Amino acid sequence: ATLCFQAFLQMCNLPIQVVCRANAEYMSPSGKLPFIHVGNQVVSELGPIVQFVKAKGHSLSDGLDEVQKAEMKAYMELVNNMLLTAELYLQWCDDVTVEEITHPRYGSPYPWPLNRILSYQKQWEVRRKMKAIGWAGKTLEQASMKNVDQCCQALSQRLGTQPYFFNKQPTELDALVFGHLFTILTTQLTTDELSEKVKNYSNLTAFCRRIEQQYFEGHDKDSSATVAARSAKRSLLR
Amino acid sequence: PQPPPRQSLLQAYAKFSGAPLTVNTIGNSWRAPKGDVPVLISEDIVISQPAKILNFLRKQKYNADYELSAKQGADTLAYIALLEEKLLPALLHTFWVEAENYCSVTKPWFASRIAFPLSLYLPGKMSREALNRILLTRGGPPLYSLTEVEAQIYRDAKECLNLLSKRLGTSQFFFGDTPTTLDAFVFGFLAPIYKVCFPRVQLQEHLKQLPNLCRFCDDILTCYFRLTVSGHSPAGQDTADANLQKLTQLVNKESNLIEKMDDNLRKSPQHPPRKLTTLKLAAGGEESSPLNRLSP
Repeated sequence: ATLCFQAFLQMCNLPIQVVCRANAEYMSPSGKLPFIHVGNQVVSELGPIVQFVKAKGHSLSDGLDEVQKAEMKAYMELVNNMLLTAELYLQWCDDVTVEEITHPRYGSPYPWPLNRILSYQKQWEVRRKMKAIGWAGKTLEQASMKNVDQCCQALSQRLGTQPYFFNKQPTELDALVFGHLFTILTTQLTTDELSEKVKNYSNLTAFCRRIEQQYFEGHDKDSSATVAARSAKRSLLR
Repeated sequence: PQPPPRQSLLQAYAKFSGAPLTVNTIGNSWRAPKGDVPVLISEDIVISQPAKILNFLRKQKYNADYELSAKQGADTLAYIALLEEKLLPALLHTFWVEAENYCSVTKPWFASRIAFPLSLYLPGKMSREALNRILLTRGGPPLYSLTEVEAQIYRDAKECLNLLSKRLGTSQFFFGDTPTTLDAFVFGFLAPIYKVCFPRVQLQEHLKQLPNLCRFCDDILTCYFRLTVSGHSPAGQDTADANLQKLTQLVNKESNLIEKMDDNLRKSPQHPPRKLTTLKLAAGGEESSPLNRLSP
């Protein structure tokens, strides 16, 4: 999720500094990460941040007409609906992944037993949500893999051979998709199946590489960050 | 319990793709395989989720999306996700959580169609599940009270309706002149809002300000549901009953549905009266199915 924001802000040509904090979730006004701290204002979540940036005079979607804006919002919901939920499911509902990766990462800033308690609490919360939307009975294959595949197929079809989703200029949608896909491609999990699904769509991997080169290569800290560091960052800020 | 759009969506899709199917309701949901509704039965195969039912119909060559390009197919998925994320919570709220609506329309209609004593328990359960779902998926900081969550979901729903209206523009359907899966989904979501007369109607009022969406619903109703709508002719129906009949046709939230694919049978216009008879004869009550998410 952090990456979506970084990408978005880079695309707007706004300089940012990424900082990791253990109590990040508590500092955020909505409890959700990441958030930005500008002067004496704190804004969290993609929607409000986009609006905040727009109010300051920077916007990526001004060039779109009404129909395109509607389409952009629909695709952003698709990403949230399918990719994000699939990622959450994989992180918190697949027992193998939970035990080997999620619990250690999520609890790493805290001493025992707090780390276990907090991760179990988060896990319980996510599982409740999955049950409410009807994903509780699904297997990993059904829930995560199939949805990621379908979502990537739709994104790939929409992107086609264009450089960005709305042709020449990147928009919030590009930032969002980049954030999710790049994370899937670079985060180490118990299985490579998820990243393999994304790699099946060559225009999507090319898209990620293009954005990485264009917007992140000047920042050595980000682009050369190791997989482990990126994973650690995710655990602290999620 | 099933979200309101399910049945109207599937019926609309079947009409668009020309799939001949019969809609039967049974009063006893325990007879429905796995208690899940709606259910499609074709020969020996039983399929129980809308997305799977749609896939099955497509494989049987009843495909409403045949003419669409890959990009349009992708757009379909995206808009369906938009509907589920932004419109569905408010729809659930209007039907199941908003106290006046629930007590004066949803609950009595619902309870009249299932056997005692389940009629005492089931509506309440579905209402609680709807509220639970809304709070778990849309609640949470910075929205701390139910009123704030409600305000947010209705804002989102109105924005969604605006976006749909912009996307539809002046076309007859979302992808040109023939209806597709997306049209079925949108119709499934909009028809209950448009047609059911609730006391608290903020979504309906907002929808009525978007004339192209109203026209869209009306067109589908007259072109594809004409037979059944005009088949509503039982004498002596008063307005409330007529509305409930329409609700039955359009929504059928709680009546259990078994759809049979049969080349010789079409949906009978005498459907509503037959349903009531079926309900009286059926023994036992209905078991609720979990609030399944419409997965695209």
